[in-house]
Amino acid sequence: MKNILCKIFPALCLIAAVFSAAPAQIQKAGIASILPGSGEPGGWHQIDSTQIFAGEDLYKFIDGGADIYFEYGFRQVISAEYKNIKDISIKLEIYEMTDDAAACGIYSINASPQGKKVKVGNEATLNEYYLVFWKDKFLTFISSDDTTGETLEGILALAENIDMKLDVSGKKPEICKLLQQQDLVVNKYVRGLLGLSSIYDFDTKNIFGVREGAVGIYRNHRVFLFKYDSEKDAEEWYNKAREVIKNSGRYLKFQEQAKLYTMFDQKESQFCVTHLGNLVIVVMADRGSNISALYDSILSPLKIYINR
Amino acid sequence: MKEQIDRREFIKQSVALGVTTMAGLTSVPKVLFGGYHPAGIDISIVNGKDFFTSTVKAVEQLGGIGKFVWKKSKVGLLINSPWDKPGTYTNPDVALAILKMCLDAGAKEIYSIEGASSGYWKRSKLYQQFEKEIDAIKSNSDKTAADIPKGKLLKEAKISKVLLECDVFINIPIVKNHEGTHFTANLKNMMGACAGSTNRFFHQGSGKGGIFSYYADPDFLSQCIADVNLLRKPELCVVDATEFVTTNGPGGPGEIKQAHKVVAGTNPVSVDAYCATLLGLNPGDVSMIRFASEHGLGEIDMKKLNLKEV
Repeated sequence: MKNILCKIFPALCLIAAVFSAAPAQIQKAGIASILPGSGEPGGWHQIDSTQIFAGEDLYKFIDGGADIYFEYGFRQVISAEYKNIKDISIKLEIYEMTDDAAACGIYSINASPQGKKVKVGNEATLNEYYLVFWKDKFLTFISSDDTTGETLEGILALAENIDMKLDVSGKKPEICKLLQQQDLVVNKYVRGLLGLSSIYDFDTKNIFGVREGAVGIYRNHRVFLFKYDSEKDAEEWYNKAREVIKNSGRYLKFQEQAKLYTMFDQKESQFCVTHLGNLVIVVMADRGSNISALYDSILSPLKIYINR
Repeated sequence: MKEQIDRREFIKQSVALGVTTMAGLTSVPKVLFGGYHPAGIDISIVNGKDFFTSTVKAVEQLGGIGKFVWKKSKVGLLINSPWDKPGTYTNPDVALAILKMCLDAGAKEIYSIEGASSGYWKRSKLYQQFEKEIDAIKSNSDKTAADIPKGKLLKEAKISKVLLECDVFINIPIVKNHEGTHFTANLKNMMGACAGSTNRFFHQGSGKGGIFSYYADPDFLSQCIADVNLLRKPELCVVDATEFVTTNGPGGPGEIKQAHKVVAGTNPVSVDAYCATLLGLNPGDVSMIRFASEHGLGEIDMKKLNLKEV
């Protein structure tokens, strides 16, 4: 009996976690309750039946593109199509992730820096033919083949409609707050290799063992903060990555000092890697930048945080 | 008189006719004699906003469709058509141009290996003009198990019967970003011919993620892609590089690059190596391209390839 309990207990915990994490109203009515209803808003009406894919069925929906959603933590997705009287189509997909940080993270990977920031959800970007936003643990994509002003207004109206139906906002992951906000162009949140390599491809393997990290993209440099369970883990992954980098043909001019190593990549970007507390910190700077000065300015506030 | 000859018989007859063929006295496709280098060009690139015309020109630069498709042949087209966001699927004008050329060359049967839907073809402004040709496309989703003895990780795959049995296999992917492998074109498009269970193995087969997590192993996926390409090399590859997503691939929506290029060749690895550069990637850094090259499937050094771009 004890053995059976031991076996099913983790599964029960998982099921409990799944249901407890969903806002009560949405949980009761299901993810379909977030969809804009037929005829609303602005004459965009829903056509066809909605499709829902949960868990591994995501492979049936975006076979080939599902892995990154699983990396962040995926629960289910609903897709629907809307049309107006001119028969123009708008496609909508709402991804329910495991938590707000997962939704924020996958948004950060997908939002284009060229897009226009709009006030929908916690963060939203409107591009030439699509809008993406996150709120609570939901990530929404709304897109159309038509790029006229009228359709973009329809996309925005549908987004606002969904936004209103989500009561809870959700928060950005704590680690993102460690990035210097001054001159920050884009802030990304990663939970593994796929997210990280979409920003910078250190290696085809997860050489830093990243499970959680924040990446700040500034005009001439980038800062990668990888968080580990303990200081010991951070040091271990710092050392493991060093061995790969030292022996990799991807990097040149590897040099090592106490608790710090530096290198260049093939495009002559410069890197400084260190570890501090439970963080591994990588500073990447464009060719010609003063990486030493950058490194010092980035490390000082982090030291204060770690020693708090 | 026998109406149709199968691929094996065709090759036998072609060998028998070898001498006269070499003398240029018949219209037997030269590609079947091995090592054929169409018009001395490895990669044909055509720029322009009329994608149908660009596709025809890209194939003409390789010597024309008659070099690859012959009368009464059975042709399999592998079109990346299942996606629906801009820049994520092969522009139907590109696929239509190939279809039209195959029919004009006298192909008896044309199969869509992945089964492009009518919705896909309707996205083309040329749909009505070529409705009859589109109706002629056959579909057969039957899969068969195939051994891959030289595969490093993939030893067996369930794959389209048509792909293995057709006389002429034409791969018609779109080049685009893929969040796992950073790149997809010819080599990865082969997954469109595989059964879901095989593709699932590509994504999860390394078992590194454990039961409750799905951390993909891009190198495992890439090696499986290289391995499955051992099963059948296409006779012709035509890549849509007109408009494609550079982020959030393969499904999009994502940022779009408008390169307005159609890229054709006979070697999927070499064509992919060129296409990788359109995404700003070094071909050798794309694992699937490197692994396929290590299998001896094609050259990836741009300096050793003969490109013709118009």
